Amino acid sequence: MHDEINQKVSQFIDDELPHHEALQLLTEIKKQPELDARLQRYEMASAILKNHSPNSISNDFASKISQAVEQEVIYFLPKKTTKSIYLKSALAVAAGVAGVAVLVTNNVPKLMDIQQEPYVIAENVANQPIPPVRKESVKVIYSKPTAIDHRFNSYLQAHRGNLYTIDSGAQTYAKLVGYGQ
Amino acid sequence: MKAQNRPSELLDQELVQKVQQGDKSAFDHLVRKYQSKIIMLVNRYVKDPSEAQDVAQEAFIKAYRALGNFRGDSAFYTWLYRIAINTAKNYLVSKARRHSEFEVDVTEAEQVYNAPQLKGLDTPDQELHNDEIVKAIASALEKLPEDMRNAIMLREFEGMSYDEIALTMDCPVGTVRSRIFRAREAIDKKLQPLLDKR
Repeated sequence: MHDEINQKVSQFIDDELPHHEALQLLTEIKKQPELDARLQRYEMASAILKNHSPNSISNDFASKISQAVEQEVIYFLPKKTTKSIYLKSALAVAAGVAGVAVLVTNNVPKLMDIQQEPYVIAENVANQPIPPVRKESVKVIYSKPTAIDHRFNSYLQAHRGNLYTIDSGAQTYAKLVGYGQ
Repeated sequence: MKAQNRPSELLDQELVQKVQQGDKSAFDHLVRKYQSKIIMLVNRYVKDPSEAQDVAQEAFIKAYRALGNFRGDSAFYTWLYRIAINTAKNYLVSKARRHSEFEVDVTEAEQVYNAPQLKGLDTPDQELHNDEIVKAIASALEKLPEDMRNAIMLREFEGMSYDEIALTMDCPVGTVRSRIFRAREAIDKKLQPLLDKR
C-alpha cells in the first residue's frame, strides 16, 4: 500500500500520473505530512541530479501560505470562457433577429396600406372626369402714344435716323442714355 | 504529446478554476505541487535558502491575489514562474537599496542578481552539509543496479518520458515506472538521514 502511493509520488514529479489521480494524491499529501516530506525529498534528489544546489523546505512552508490565503478577502469574478462569450453573442444575435421579425410582422399590414394608398388615390383620380384645361393667354397691352412720345420721336429722328421709340417710353429713354455716351 | 494535454497542465487548469470559484484549498494543492521548484528558482536569484523561502511565500501570495486575472493564455506554471522571478528581482533591488545609498532601477535587477557580493550566502556549515548531500546522492546512484540507474538517468538527465524510456530500454512502461521508483527509494534512504540531521 505504501509502495503503491510512494510510486505515485514518483510518477507525480515526473508528470506521469493521470490528473485525476494526481488530484487524489495531492489531497493525500495534504493529510499526510510524511508523504509531503517524501515528495520534497524526491524533488530535492531530482534537483541535485540535475546539478542544482539542494534546498530544504521548512515543514510549515505550505501551511504558512495557506494561513495567509485564508486571511485574504478576494472575490474572483467568474471566468468568462470563450464558449460562454460565443453563446452570449449567438443569443444576442438571435434576440435581435427575433425582434426585427416581430417588428416586421406587426408593421407589414401598415406598410402594405401605405404602399396601396398611392394606387388607390391614382385609381380614384383616374376615374374622375378630366377638368377642362384653362388656357391662360398673355395679353399685351399697348399704351397709346402720348404727345411726349411724338416729341421724343421727332427729336431722335432728327439726331439719328436708325433710332425709334416703339411704344414704351422707358426703352426710348435707355437708348437715349446709351446714345448720349 | 501536446504540451497542453500533459496531465500536469490539466491538473493545474482544474485547480486554477477551483480557486477562481472560491475554493482556497485548491490553491494549497498548487503550492504543494510547485513549492520545491519555486524555492529552487527563487534561490538562484536570492542565493540564501532561508530568504528564498520568504520570497517564494510572497510570490505564492501574489499569485493568489492575481489569480482572478489569470485567463490561461499561458500555462499556469509559466505564469507562476514569472511572478516568482519578478518577486525575487524586486527583493534583490530593495535589498541593494537597503545596503547602498545609490538608487537601483528595477531593470537593473539582473545586474544586482549577478553582483558578486550577493552570491554564495550559504554559511560554511551549510555548504559542507550540501556537499555531503550531493556526495551521498552521487554515491547512491553509482551503487544502483544498472537497469535502475539507466532508467533514472534517462529520466533526470535526458528528460525522457516513461514511454520513451520504455522504447529505449526495450521494456514495458510499467517496468520503467517501477525501476525509477525503486531508484528514487534507494537514493532517498541515503538522503533522509542527512536531512534529519539539519
